[in-house]
Amino acid sequence: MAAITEVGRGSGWLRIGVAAGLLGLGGCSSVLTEGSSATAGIAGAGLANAITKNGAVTAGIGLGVLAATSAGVKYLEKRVHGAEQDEIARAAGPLGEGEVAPWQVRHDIPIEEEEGGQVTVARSIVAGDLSCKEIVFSVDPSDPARGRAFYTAFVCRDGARWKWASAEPATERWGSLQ
Amino acid sequence: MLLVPLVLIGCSSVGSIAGAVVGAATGGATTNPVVGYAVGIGTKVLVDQLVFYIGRRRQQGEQDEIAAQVGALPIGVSAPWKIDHDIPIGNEHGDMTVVRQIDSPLATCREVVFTVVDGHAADSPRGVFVTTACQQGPRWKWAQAEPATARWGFLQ
Repeated sequence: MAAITEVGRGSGWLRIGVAAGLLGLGGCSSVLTEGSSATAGIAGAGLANAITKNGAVTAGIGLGVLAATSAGVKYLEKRVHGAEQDEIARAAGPLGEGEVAPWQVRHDIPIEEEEGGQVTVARSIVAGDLSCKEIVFSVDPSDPARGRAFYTAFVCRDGARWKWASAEPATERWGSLQ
Repeated sequence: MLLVPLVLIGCSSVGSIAGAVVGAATGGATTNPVVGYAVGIGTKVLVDQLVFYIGRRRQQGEQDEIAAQVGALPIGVSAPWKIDHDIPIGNEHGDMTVVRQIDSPLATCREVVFTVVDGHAADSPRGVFVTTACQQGPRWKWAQAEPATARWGFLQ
């Protein structure tokens, strides 16, 4: 705790600068989440402070706005990422084992990179009237020198559409995911 | 400040604690609660990012350790794996077995069953898991994609 309070004193700001440098490596989505929420929270706190001179009330209103905005941004991220999953599942749906198709996603809201690659079906899984496929897909970098990344996932038919079907990791393996 | 997240790795409230402490200190110094709040939240954002970044790097180290062996291991043969983190907290180990090769026109992938034991005591926490790894150039990399967004729930 003593080390943390150091930050509040003059020399500590240098260390915040070091931490800020790492932001660039931290993925933009979390910065978006925290940045938007924090800005809204600060704006909320500012508004509250104009009405009340009670610091505790100010902080309370600021934190409330922070939580609401954070939930909104997460919803948005989930929707945008769901579009990418749907696009890969849609491309994989009609494929037989060993067939390859391209996939490409363009986002209406540019909070994720527009990505594309290829997808193929490695295995069909039929369980009663449920139909699923194990897929291997590539995410091709804009700079070919960086090499393609490959991933595996499951898609299942849901009515007329094919949907992403990989379940979440075991809670024991969430680690820093949460 | 940098040492604190390292010691309390996995504790995602470090950012909030740092934010609260700095925010309170600043608010006290300026007597303006909005300035205190803004500085506090700013600190929370920075410290959170650092903690998550370090956590991800450590988890990636463990994934790379398991995936690296996947390519060399014959199917059906078990081999031990272990991770020695630079910061010796959460050094896990276990056994791994490649159970299936997934041949596809895009890439060669393999399915692997692995155990994870956290510590060396008889009652150390342990688990059994299944994942995939694919060959990317000369390396093998962890290949299991993210869950469907409908299953994100509390993960996000």
